[in-house]
Amino acid sequence: MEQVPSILRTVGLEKSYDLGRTKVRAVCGIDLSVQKGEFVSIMGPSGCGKSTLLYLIGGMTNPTRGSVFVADTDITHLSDSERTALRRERIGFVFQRFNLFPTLSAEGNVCLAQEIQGARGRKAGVERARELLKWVGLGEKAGRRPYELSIGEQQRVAIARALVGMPEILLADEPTGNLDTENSWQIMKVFESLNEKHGQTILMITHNPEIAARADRTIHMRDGRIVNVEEDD
Amino acid sequence: MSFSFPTLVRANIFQRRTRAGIAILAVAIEVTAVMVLVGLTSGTINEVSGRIQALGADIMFRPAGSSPLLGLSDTTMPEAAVDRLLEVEGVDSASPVMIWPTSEVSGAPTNIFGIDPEPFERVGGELEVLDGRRLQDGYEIIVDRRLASTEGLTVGQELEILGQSWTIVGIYRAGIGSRMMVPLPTLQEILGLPNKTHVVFLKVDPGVQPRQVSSRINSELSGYETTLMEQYAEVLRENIVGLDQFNGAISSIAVVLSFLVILLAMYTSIIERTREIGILKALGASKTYIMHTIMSESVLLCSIGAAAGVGLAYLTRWALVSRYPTLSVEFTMEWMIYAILLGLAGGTLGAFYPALRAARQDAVRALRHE
Ligand SMILES: Nc1ncnc2c1ncn2[C@@H]1O[C@H](COP(=O)(O)OP(=O)(O)OP(=O)(O)O)[C@@H](O)[C@H]1O
Ligand SMILES: [Mg+2]
Repeated sequence: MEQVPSILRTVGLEKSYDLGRTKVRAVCGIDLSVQKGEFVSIMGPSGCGKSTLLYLIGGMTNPTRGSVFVADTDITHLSDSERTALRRERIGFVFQRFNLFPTLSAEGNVCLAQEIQGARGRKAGVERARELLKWVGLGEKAGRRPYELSIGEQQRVAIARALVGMPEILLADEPTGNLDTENSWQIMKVFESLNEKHGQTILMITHNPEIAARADRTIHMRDGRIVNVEEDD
Repeated sequence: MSFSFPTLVRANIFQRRTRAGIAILAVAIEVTAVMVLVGLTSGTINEVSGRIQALGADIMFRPAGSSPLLGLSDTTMPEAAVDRLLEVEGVDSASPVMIWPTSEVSGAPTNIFGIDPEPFERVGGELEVLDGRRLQDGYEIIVDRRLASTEGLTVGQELEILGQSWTIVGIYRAGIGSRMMVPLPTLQEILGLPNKTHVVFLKVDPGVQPRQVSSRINSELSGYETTLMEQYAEVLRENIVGLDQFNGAISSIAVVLSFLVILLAMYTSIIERTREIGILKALGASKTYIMHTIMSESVLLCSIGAAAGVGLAYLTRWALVSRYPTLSVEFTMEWMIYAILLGLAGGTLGAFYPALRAARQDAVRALRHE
């Protein structure tokens, strides 16, 4: 296992928030290595630092100490713009809250992500957006606005949006958090097929042990640390 | 990179109408304010100078140190200067005019000309009588059509001016000299200035350069000043102290106000959208993309605002002129472009700072923003 190069690696990763008098240590000393094509789930009680870890890996915020390597690049040494570019090219994000743009339709939300990726040609963009939405089972509802969609459907739009550039790494923060079992399984199917057919590396936060068990490996966190790692195969 | 409005711009403008409306209104008001206020000053100057130039004279002759703005100075000269002027080579005719500004007729200060009808018309001020008859003598007054219609004056009516009762004997076509004229001797008498005059208008012989005649006058008669009528509008503009500063002050105030409103509108909209900007950053949107989105929205809003402002300016002019027919509002292309550019600059600069701030903020902080 040591021979396989890791696509993601954190070394002594720490993040604390200064709240005036007190300091919140959201992540304290995480060493984690994820191989290309691995499907990893992260579990842990609320407030243990799962989202913070994911944001740090995605370069959305800088750590207080430690490093994050994406492939061989230490992204903590990159500028904000360089980290943004890295996200654009290699990382897809699905947020804990879906964060769709309310003024845009499902299709518009996906097209916006394409625009950010620098995709040319509106027509081709719309077709590709429809294709992605069809793939997550929303082919019929591409023209609807977020408020006209169920929570599960909104989450699937967010996933379609994250897949626009077919990123090597998909970071998903509780993608099934607010969903019933059926919707959850539907999303898991999408993730599994991405992982198996396209070899995408997936890091997924979940509170559901059954969902977590579908991953190759489950990391358990508590108080900003990794307390246990379970191989699920 | 092909230029197109980012997807979000279109959605934001059409779906956040109130905010878009406020920004548009701020720019529109700025453009309207600058255009109307500047248009009012230049319209008034052009109208006044146009009326004076319509006298048909070539040269205005007045005591040294008096203002070329008629009615502003009470320095007089002996009427005998007319005879001296007629002796100067190249002078064809000379018409003495006394000027008395009064607010008794229309509320706004309006000049009354005391004229000697015969030389007045010889110099070139053709008074086309539309109703009634010409001036003769005594307490007679003629008024121009514009004043007659705004004040509802008719031939035969009496006007109370300078403690005297004047009879309207005629109404003449507007646009020549002043809006009211009385016989020169009557005005001299009532002002207690017999055989005096404020200015003399001169006509030069056909084919003679007014400039030559005016320099000849200046060398032969000392203690006087001459103004070439073809330069009158310019002279008027130069003599209204601080006109450019006034226009500048008005437009700066309009610009500062609209700048603040646009800044506030854009700023609050960006605070509102902090989360959205966080999402954009998380999706990999570059600073350039975010700036482009916000700035194109602002430029688009400002352009709509500027266009609306030009329309509103014309509407305001129409409303002003129908309410106050003696007002003149003249729009110049130069100031219209200036007003539009100021509006665009205010809006884009107003959006620039919040846009830059938004593009620079930490993605996670932005995402957690409520
Ligand atoms: N901006 C912030 N300022 C201060 N403290 C913060 C900030 N963001 C997160 N925290 C704190 O950091 C800790 C970890 O937060 P994080 O969101 O990573 O938890 P989580 O494991 O994702 O929780 P959940 O399962 O509820 O989503 C929490 O105690 C939280 O209160
Ligand atoms: Mg979380």
